[in-house]
Amino acid sequence: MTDSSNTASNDSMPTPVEVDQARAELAKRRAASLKKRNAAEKRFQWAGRLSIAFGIACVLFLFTDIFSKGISAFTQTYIDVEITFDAEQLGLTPQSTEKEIKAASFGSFFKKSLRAQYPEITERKAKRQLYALFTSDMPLILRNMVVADPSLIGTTQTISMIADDDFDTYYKHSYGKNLGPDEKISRLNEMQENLVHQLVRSGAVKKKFNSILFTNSDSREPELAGIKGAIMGSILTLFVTLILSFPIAVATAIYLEEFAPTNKITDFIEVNINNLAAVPSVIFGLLGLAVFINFFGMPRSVPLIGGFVLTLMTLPTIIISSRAAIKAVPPSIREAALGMGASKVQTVVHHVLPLAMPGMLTGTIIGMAQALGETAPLLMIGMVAFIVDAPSGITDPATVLPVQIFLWSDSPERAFVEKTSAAIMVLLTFLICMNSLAVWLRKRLERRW
Amino acid sequence: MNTAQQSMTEIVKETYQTSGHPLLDDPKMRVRGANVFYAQKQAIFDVNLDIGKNQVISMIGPSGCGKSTFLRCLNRMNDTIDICRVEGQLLLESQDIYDKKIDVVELRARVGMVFQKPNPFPKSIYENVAYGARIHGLTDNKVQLDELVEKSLIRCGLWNEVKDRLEEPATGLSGGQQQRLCIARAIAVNPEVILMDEPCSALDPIATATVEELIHELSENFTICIVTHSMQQAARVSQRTAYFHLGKLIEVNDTSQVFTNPEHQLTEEYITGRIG
Amino acid sequence: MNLSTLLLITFVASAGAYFIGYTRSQQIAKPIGGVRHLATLPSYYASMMSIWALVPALIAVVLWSVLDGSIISSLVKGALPTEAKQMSQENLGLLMSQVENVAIGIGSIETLGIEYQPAVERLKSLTLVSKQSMPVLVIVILIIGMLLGFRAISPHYNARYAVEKIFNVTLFVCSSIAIFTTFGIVFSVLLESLAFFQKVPFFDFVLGTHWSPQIAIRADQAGASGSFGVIPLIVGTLLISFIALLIAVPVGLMSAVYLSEYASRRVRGIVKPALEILAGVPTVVYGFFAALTVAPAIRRYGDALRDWGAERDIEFLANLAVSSESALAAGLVMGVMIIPFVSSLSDDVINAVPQSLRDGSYGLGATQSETIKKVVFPAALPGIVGGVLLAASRAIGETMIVVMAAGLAANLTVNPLEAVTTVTVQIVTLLVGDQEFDSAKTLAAFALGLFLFVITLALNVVALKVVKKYREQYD
Repeated sequence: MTDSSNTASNDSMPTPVEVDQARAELAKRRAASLKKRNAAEKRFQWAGRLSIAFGIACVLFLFTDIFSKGISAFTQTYIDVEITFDAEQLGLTPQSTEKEIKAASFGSFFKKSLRAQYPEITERKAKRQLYALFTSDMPLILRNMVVADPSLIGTTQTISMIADDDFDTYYKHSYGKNLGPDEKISRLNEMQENLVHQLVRSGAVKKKFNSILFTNSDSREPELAGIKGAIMGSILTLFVTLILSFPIAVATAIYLEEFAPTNKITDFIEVNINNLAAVPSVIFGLLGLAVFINFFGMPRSVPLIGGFVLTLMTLPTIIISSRAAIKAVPPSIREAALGMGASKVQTVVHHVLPLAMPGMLTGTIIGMAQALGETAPLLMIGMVAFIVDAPSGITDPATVLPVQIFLWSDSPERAFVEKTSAAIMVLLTFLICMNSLAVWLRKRLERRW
Repeated sequence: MNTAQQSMTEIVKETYQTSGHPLLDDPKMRVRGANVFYAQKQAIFDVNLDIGKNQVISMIGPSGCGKSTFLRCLNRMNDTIDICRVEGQLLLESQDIYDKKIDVVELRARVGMVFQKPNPFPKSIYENVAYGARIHGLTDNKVQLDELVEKSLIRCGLWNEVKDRLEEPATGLSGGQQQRLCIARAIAVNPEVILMDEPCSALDPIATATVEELIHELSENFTICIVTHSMQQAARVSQRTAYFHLGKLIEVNDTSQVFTNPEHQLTEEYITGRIG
Repeated sequence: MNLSTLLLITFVASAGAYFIGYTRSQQIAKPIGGVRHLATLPSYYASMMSIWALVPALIAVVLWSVLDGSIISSLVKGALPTEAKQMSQENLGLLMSQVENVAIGIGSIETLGIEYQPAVERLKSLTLVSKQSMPVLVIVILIIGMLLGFRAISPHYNARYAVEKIFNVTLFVCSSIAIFTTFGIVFSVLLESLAFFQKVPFFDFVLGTHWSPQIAIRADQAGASGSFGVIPLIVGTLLISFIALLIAVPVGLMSAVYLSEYASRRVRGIVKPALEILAGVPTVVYGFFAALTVAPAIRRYGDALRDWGAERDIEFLANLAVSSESALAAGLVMGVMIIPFVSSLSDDVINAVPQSLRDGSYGLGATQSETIKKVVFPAALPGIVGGVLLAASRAIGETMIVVMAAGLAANLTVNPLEAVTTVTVQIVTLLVGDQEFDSAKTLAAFALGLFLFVITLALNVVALKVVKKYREQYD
């Protein structure tokens, strides 16, 4: 071939024969690389498939891991024990007043009753190990039973007693399984394990649905710990967040889309919203701590402040999706209303807002879901305290579900692992419900113009 | 069973005769009974057409008549659209291009394409022209590649305009230059057929004239199919003209014949401006 | 009367005002020939009256609740003995809280000192006055507001203008909350940080390589400096974020590419939401997962590898030591968390690359992967870079995963198998629990917060600019 850079353009036009030769040559070259190229294509596609498979595997692994750890927390081991509420021993009669009952020593009564069942246990240490199979709150529970029904005094009852977490864990995970020493999860000693064995064989040990998990609040004892307080705290916090963030976000979205003049202030607001959307949540915690608690002197650990902080945090999310919903309303509808002589406010309130509402609601639900799962800023404002009572108002000290998960996951007891996983399952269930609702709402109410 | 049901839902095929001379001896490409569907909607009806070697054939017709769709069948660009389905026989030198054994990559190297809007890659001018050679492995070293780029640019009359700024981004060129660059990019692979989908519709008249001249020169070595909405352009650049109407190939003939003495009523109505 | 009852009364009254306003406007419309002779619709008169009732009363409630604490305490301070007035700020605060406790019946006046009796008494009486007078004042304001609103109802007065004006003002006030939030963040972290830098020199903080705030507390003023070096935290943060991006960017990008370029509509419809589940899982769940499942697993595999190496005398492996709180575990899980984030951002930018460029490449005979690698990626590069920056800002600011899975030990290392700590971990550890607000330890958290805020803000601003510019290129 000629060196074309020096020749005139007419000479660069090859003859048909030359062209055919050149093409045959190129076809050979192409064929040589084709196999490699197709292999590269296959590899690339596989890289994509593997990436997706990795993502999905992570989802599945995460969920099965949590599920397999947490499912056992939905049952609790109970031990049927026959107890005689001996009037003499308790120093009570069926006619005793509540005050008298409360003053009675149920602690020693409980221990005595247990000892009566196992006369062969005489050693002091062994006795203590026997008591340790039951939850430490058992005397209190017995007392409350008697308070509720004083006629129990003098009768003999079979009572389902709550097993201690060590018993519970051992019975659920290791009992009756042929496990190696490394696999066995047990903090019970040999004597206790024998007792468990004896109890199981006598048919006294039962696994029942763990209603404690939903009716109790936090406790130091895993077998008595529940998420009622945390759920109440989450509900109250979310309530505050919702009634603050929804109106404010909608108002902001309407202002920015419909009323805001094009000027520096509007620009500044927009820039702020966009940047706040990406500020780490822990920073909002610092804001809450410095401004609400330190500067305004508001109380720590309360859902009200939690709601304030989460409002500031979720506002950008809801504003951005609300603006998108307003933008999606076609201008023709505004023009139609304005053309009828409606004022700008009337146009917005009567026409734009109702049409944009589904989109705004969807955004709000997603924002609420985000707020429900948020932990870090709430740690900052002290919602991380150990609180035994469920809050009843937005100014009661409370914790929330994700913080409860954090607290439990830090606890050394093995039994808290399953409790934590169970709490996560509950949290995820809430989140899945909320997100499904958002998806359903979007599908149902979505309008296409 | 399944195919029987399918054919029930299909639009009943009307038979029609293409006027003029759709068939040739020893064509470069041969199309027989081509039907194209977008999902359930049929876009092309039973087209029979031969495309002559080293000739320019232009395809004209009102908007939506299927001329672009037909063009895109010729190098299987329609494969990128999920719902598109092509039936019939389309041969490139007696090879069925829809045959399973045909590699679409190889096919497109032989049947290149230039698009309506100039679409240079956001890379340098040099990289744009070298792209095809690089992916197909057409050159052994940098010297050969330089030579190929230069030759392609010279053929497109772009060399003198860009030789000092080969490393600058191609998006900085003017519309006409961009389109000629896209043609240079196409011929750098040395395809046998070049498909052009309204290559001048986004260009000004002067740039259009340059590109038309280029098409004319290229037709010595390349078979060119050009879709155009401009009858004048068809008359200026092509030897043969095919007129499409509502997915049907109405008439094919020598360009002079089509424009001076159309056989079919619809063709006549179109070229006299009664169908637009 | 407590606050919520008062608020309830206010809202009920405002609703009542609406009805009164509505009836009243219809009443005055009757003699002049019906509602259409009024300047505007009855509902606007009603809304106006309702606003007159609600807004002043609400403002009164809010102002009172915010201000009464500080007013009372400054009045009480006046009643303290003279020597107490000369106390330092901290001790005075401590004293005041003791006085408050005595006033509400915790602790006795004897232990506090009889000389504080007047202050306690004054606090008690002022609190009582405040508690009793607030409802009265609010209800008076409420009634005055309603009367004013009622009187304004007249046929010639166009209440719509007033209502719409208030509507507009309300909207503007709501929008400006975003500005106040930013200012709130900036001022709270900035002020506390300035206080911190008075205790610890700025350069000791920025350039120090040793971080141990606990020691500083024990040694108090003497050892305060030298223990607040932020370098180990930064290195730890970057290490974990880097591991996270190493996972998330390729996986997220490749899944986005596969879903948008290869997958059929049906597959996309299933896989995309499935991947987005990862984005909806709360970070505390990831933290739990990292701490209880991933970290122990990594440690187990590390140990197994070490034993294997030791058997075969491979020195490199035999010396392998995996911490139970390795940076690797936190980084891995964090990476999984940001996969959907990267993937949806990449999806956006890849879809923004015009089809004509792909067609150009296919038309030359390029395979799909060649088109993606050589045309789509380079074209989308600015957008992808922007997305990666946003993902990096996410990773740097992520808190719960690292709090639960990374350690507290501020090791200056880049070995992913060792424990490191991060900026966010330290913020949380320093602030959780009750602490004196002006100790160097607490203030250090705010200095870290300032640092974190500046970094993430800068990353975001740059990323948004890059992405915006990229979008304009193809619009």
